[in-house]
Amino acid sequence: MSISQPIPTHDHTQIELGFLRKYIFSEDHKMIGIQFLFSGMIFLFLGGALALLVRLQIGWPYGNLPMVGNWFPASWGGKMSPEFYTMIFSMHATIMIFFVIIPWLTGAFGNFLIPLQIGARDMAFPKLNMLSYWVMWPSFILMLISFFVAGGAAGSGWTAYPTLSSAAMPDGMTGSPASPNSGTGQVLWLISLLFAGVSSMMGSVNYITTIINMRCPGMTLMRMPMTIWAMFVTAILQAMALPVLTVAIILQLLDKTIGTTFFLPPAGMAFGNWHTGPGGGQPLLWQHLFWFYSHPAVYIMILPAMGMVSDIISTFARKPLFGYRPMVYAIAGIAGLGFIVWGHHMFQSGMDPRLGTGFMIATIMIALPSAVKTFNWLGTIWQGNIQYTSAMLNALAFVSMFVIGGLSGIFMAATPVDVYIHDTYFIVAHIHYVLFMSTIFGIYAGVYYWYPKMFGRMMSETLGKIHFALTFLSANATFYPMHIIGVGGHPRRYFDITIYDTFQHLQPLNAFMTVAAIILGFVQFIFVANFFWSLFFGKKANRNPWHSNSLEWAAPSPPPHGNFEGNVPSVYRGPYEYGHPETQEDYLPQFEPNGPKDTPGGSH
Amino acid sequence: MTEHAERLENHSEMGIPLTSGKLCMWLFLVTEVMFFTALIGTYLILRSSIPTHPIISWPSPERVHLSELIGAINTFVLIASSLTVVLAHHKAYHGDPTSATRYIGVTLVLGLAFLGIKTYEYKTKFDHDILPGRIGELLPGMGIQRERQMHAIGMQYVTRVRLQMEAALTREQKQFGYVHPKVKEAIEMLLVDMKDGEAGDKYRPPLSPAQVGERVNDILHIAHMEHHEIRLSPAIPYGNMWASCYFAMTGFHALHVFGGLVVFAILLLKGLRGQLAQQDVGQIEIIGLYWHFVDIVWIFLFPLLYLV
Amino acid sequence: MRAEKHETESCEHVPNLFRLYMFVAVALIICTALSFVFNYYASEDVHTVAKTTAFLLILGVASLKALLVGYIFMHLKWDWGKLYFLIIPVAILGMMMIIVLLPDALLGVLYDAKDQLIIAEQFAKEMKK
Repeated sequence: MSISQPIPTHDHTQIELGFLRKYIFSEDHKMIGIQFLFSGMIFLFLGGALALLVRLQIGWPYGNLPMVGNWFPASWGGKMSPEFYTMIFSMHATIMIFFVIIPWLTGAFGNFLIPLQIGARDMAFPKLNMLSYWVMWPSFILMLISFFVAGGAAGSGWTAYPTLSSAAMPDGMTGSPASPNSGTGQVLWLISLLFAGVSSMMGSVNYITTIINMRCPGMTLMRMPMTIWAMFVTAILQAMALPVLTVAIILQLLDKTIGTTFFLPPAGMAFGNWHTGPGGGQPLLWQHLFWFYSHPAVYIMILPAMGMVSDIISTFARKPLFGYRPMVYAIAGIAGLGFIVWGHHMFQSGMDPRLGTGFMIATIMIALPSAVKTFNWLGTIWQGNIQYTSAMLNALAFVSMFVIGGLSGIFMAATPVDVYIHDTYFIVAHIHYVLFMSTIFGIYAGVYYWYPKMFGRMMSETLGKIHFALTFLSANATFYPMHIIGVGGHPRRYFDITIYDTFQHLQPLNAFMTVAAIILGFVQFIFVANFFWSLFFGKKANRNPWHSNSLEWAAPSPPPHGNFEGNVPSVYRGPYEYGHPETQEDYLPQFEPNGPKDTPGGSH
Repeated sequence: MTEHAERLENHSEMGIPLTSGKLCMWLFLVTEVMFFTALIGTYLILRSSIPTHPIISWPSPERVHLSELIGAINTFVLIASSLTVVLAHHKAYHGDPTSATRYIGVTLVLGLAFLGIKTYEYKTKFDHDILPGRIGELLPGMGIQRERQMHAIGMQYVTRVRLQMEAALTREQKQFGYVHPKVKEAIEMLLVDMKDGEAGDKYRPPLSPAQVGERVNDILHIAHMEHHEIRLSPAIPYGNMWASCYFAMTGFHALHVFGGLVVFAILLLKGLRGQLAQQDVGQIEIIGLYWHFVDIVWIFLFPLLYLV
Repeated sequence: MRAEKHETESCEHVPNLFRLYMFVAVALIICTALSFVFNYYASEDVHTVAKTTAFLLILGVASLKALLVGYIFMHLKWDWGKLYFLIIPVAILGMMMIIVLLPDALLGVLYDAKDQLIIAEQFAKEMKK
């Protein structure tokens, strides 16, 4: 009853499963992680293609789109329609956030790394784990179907604010308050996110239980790698924030289907002879409930990357992580503060101004733990024996891009400044610096770093470095100018800004960004080529190719079912004993019984 | 210290002394707490955003035909079922699977009773047409501004009520051979007044949606006095919002009750077959935790919806 | 070792547990009756207690009931030491969410209903003139 580690009743390595059980309906955390990785990759390209369409429209408004234009209905004349534009930027955000970043970070890396790094044979509930992946599929399918229903997919932004999203007009009415796509497309969007939420919730409950109860002997909380700490805190964030989004989604779904009016204004909305319904609700309430989840979700989308980058930087700087405990407390601090800052998305929505002040102070306070993390990464690199592998380069890019994204965040946190830059491209620049450039670089770093463990082969370093350099340059060329046009007043989500004389001078910069974005998009194929080429022809990896310390490197590459041969390893020290003065090698694995004993938190 | 001893010593530090299943259930309950907090929070906020005004105010339980007594009975039923679950665990732990099975059976019956009473309550809501989007929002005395603002929805209400009254007259005639004279008289008078006409030598305008609402409420009152149930949408300001909240909150609670009952049914089957073993004690405790949580949710829903 | 530790801390070694459960159930029923009493004194016919006071009192009684169920039935009396790290944050978070949202609810009153009432009053005055 109280034994947390299941004792293997049979030798795990001996089990041979059929193809279906091994690769499709697998209960093995590693396979589920890889499944999440692949489905995330598919949607990365779908979301990226949508982003390029958005950029094409902004770069050359009403331009005849090459190739893509042929796919549009003949009545559009090869040009994009405004409704189509709102649809693609909404779906770009939805897909990137819910189907790429979150599944990659918590689904792929969380699943793959948690049992390996804490020395467990599998998750606490393997069946629940399998379910959490397969519940994603209804979500994927519904979202894809929504592109083909009448009116198209949801087009009211990924935030789906009522009344834009919920007050659907009957057919034939003009002057609608709602986005034209807010009919069936929006309903499917809501149901799809409901499934995604259930999947995330099952995952997070499983991760927390696993991390609390399944650690191998000796793996105390303060000996866990930062990745695990980050996953743990992320799972807690998800468990506590997601239900609120679930409620919001359900209420909006009821509004749209059975005629409740939770998010319609008190007297309803009348348009000629047509009326949205009796009203009595609050449009602002949706924003509160939505951001109560979606702000913590922003941290869900970066904390795991922070954890992984901490491990990678420490490994390749061949130095202990600077300030392990402060790093842990900083993650917890970011998570805690993350729950009380959602209002900074709503400074301009007519929220009570007194709340705005509180939210502003709390938001600016998040800079403190974030700065602790950044300076600790710098402290880790300082005087280190840095190895510039692809993983390390991507991790360093994460840190630098996080600094830029974080600093631009402080502008928005201050209410007076936010009044000016709210809903401009400054916000777009900020979100892409944090979510695209930080998190995706973090994910790439993770893929390069753990690829040998996942597939037993090394990725090509040359291709990796080319991919990194081109991505870094083109991403900065794409997103940095957004700060400039944002401060210039360029509003976000506008179909065509050239009709305003004020913004005419920003147009050349827009065209430049579009070119950079196209390059950025195509550069990613180098990564895919590298990924699949290495899958078959990469150099065979040994157990510990990076001479790293944490527990996953004690397992074979790739680890068999059950992860560790024989007994699960025991842990004798923290995971960051690099360059220890008393050892011959410059690393000292956690699972190595001989050698200097623990220095708490890995600091010297 | 030998390695073995060290392993053992290390082992005792890992994890917390709870089974993974119990921990998982507690984590699930954490998510459920947030779920119901958001639902109840939504209700509290919507409710408190409505002023206290003689006419424009949050509907009282009487106005929406919500019986405190039924709510109280359901509270007792759920408390009793919570008690029987905990006793089932107690008995199962002390190696008495027969009593445990009996207590699980009682719990299942009590849960079904809860759902039965809930169904009855829902049925009365449907009979009185207290459903989201169907209730009239306007009553006289609200001010011309509000009547103007909600005119479109008011006209929809007038159309619906007219159809309902006409249908009621023919249906009652068919079903019972007669319509209660008082009700019939009131309905016919209202149907006449809803059209414009002449009063003496003056033009008489049709009733406004607010006036129709008041008259419909009068008819319902007469019908109620004569014990003659008639299906007409009443006019209750913010009644639609109330119905939305009521159905969302109690509906999700009832779904949770149903989910618990499924597990109890499985455990009961196991028990009746005599398969309730020692390892099921943990399961009973885990489902018990869930059941108590469902009870706690009702403990909050009951006063929020039925009292005050 | 762990097993023994668990056993000694387990709820099932408390004497008279059965009676404790019964006692709690009775207390819960008394509390329910108590909330009815508050409700009666706040009702429109009697109205010896203000509505808001009665609302807070009844919510207080409900919280007491929830605590009883959690403490005894859900075995938190014995498991609190292992679970406080989950329960305290979620309790704080839930309360905070509702409290933070309340000012906006009052804004709703301010912006919608109140100024409609003011407009209605002004309209009535104009009609009198």
